[in-house]
Amino acid sequence: MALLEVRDLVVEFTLGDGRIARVVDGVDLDLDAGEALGLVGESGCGKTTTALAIARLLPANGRIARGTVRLDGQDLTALDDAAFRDRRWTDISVIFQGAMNALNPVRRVGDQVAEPILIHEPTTTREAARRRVAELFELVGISPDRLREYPHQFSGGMRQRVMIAMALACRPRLVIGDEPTTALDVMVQAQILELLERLRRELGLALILITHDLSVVAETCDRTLVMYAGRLAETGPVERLHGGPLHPYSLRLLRSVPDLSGERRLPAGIPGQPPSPESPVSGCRFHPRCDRAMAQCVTDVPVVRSFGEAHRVACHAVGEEGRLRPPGELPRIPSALAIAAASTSGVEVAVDADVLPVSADDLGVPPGDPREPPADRPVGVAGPPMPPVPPSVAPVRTTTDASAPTTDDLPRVDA
Amino acid sequence: MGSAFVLRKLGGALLTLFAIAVLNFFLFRMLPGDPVNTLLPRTVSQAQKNALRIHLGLDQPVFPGIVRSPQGALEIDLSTLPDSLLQNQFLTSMGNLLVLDLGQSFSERKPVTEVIADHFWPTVLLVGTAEVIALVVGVLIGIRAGWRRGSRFDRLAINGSLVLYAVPLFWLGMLLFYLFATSNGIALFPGQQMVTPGARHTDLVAYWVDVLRHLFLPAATLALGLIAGNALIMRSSMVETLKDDYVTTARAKGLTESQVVRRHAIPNALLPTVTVVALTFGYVLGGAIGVEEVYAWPGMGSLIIDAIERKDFPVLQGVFLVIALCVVIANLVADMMYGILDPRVRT
Repeated sequence: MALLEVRDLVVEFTLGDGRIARVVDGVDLDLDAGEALGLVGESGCGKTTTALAIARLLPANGRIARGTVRLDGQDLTALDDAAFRDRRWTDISVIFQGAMNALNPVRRVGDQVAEPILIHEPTTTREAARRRVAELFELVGISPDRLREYPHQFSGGMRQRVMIAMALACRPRLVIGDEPTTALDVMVQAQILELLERLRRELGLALILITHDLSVVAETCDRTLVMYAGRLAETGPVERLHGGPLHPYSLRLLRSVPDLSGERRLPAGIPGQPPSPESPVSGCRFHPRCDRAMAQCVTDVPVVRSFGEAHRVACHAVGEEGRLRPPGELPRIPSALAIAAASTSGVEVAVDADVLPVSADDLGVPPGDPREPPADRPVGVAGPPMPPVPPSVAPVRTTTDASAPTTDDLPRVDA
Repeated sequence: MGSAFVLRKLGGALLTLFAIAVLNFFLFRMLPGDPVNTLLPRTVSQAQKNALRIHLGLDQPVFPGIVRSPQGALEIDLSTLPDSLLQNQFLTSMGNLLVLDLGQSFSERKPVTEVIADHFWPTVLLVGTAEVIALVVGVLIGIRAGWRRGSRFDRLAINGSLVLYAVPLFWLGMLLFYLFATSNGIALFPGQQMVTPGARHTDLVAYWVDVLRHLFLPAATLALGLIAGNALIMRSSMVETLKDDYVTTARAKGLTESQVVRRHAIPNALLPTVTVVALTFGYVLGGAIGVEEVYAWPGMGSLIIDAIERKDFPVLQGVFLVIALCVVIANLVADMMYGILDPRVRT
């Protein structure tokens, strides 16, 4: 049985004007003991919200509207606040992003690390707690002499180590790392990741690592889960997903990572932004930015299908044989349908029906072999630079109504 | 807290005090008119006036190279140099200040220090009582309002505080006086003075009971105004602090809501409040002037008003200096408090 089992998780936020924004929409997630899962996606895709919902740390205007979060088979969403409080940190702890603000600036780091020990194990003496904090400090590579110092006396990387020591204080089985290496320089980032990886192996921790950096996931995780606009796009073992992504979004995300050995140029990126949660897109939420969008993508929500080895993907363009079909093999998108869908979903679509669909060469994907690792052949390397936007259903942009609330109105939807 | 930190803050405070003393000196020398004319009746002879002028030291140049003209304006007169380098009012005045000699009161014929001492402690009693009450009550209201933001308590606290904050203190004083010290309302408290006039107190306890009865209304007036300001600051500070990430961390660690607030939110939210309380101490003393006048409280506020009416400049100058000293000390205390509360400033 999986350690953590999230089923059909739906998280909703109540906006200032009383409207409901669905930030996480039906996400399933499994995690075995000792396993590391990388949760990836652009900012605003609901990764952090998913994690906060699991740890019951959603802001006051957010709530789990549907779904279950089971830890060892016990449904955590059914627990009342006091019962859940006892599980906090002893079962699930969180390494927060940017440890500067996650540590209280006016309290000694040693006291802050000892605090959960004293709360969850009331029989522990202060001296015993202090000894354990000293051990934890040694474990994460900080001199125990620094117990009585304050957060501002530590560098960013050292503060993150304090945060990690704190997360381990009550020997949790599941640790959620919410972008633990963001805002650290690359050398320190590598050290922290190495530390996390070592601790995970030594202590048998299960880890959910939230990041937008796919290379971090490749280095530290067993499995990847790609989210887009609050929904699962694709999940699978790291080697499979990174070697042969099936979802066009995963593919484009992987292409967005600069190639160190290749030619010196900026990666293609993905034009446009994810839709905002309060004006969801019809059908597959990625279709306005997708080069493989078909009529079906505008109307039908793609179901999550499995393709062996726990590789699951939600995309209409993936054939039954488990292959992402290149744009050339896909039916054209009728412009009338695109416009109709755009008017209902609130996105503005400029359609040039004559050039639909875009040819595979334009995207640098060898026809018939979309699973080829993208790093082998950078986008548009032979011809002129690839137009940033495939001319099919793009450019697409959401018409931002000035009065409509943006995602910024949602506190910590996805930091 | 390092001794270097304390020394630096003390040095800063002394420097401020010196600047205030210099400013105070020139402020009163720049006032138009001849103090001698104010002091003596119109009928006295010029010789008597000159004698008084010499007696008061006003015949000397104000500052090296600066003299007071017969019309009363300050003028540059370099012919007095180099004698005026040593013999001038500025040096004399600063020297007197060092030995705490603030001169003689014009109206009361006794040293300014004694006049001020008579009125100092009543003001300390009044302002001290009001500040302590306002600090405790205001901060408690602010904590609860900020914690339960948007609740009925919060709305009540904000609106009540805004009304109290907007009302002039002397007017609030008059209102309370009317309601609780005259037969128009319920005459619960004596309205005037610090002790019942003519009363002979047999023992200390009876004396203090009498003083406290007199203290109640003026202290309540001053405290009400201060509670409003403190509650508003503490509330907004709480609201901001509760949004901070370390509060989420504390919650994630499994602290109960009240533990989160007591251990992580309140100490951090107090920091801005400490600063503001110290910075507004000058305004409190200013507000006390009006309140003291309404209740005829024999403090420095009443003394200032009397001194202005009688053109008693040495007393005014002395009172200004004492008030400035109080504000500087309040700020020094705030700095020290901040050093204890916030480890980041202790370096």
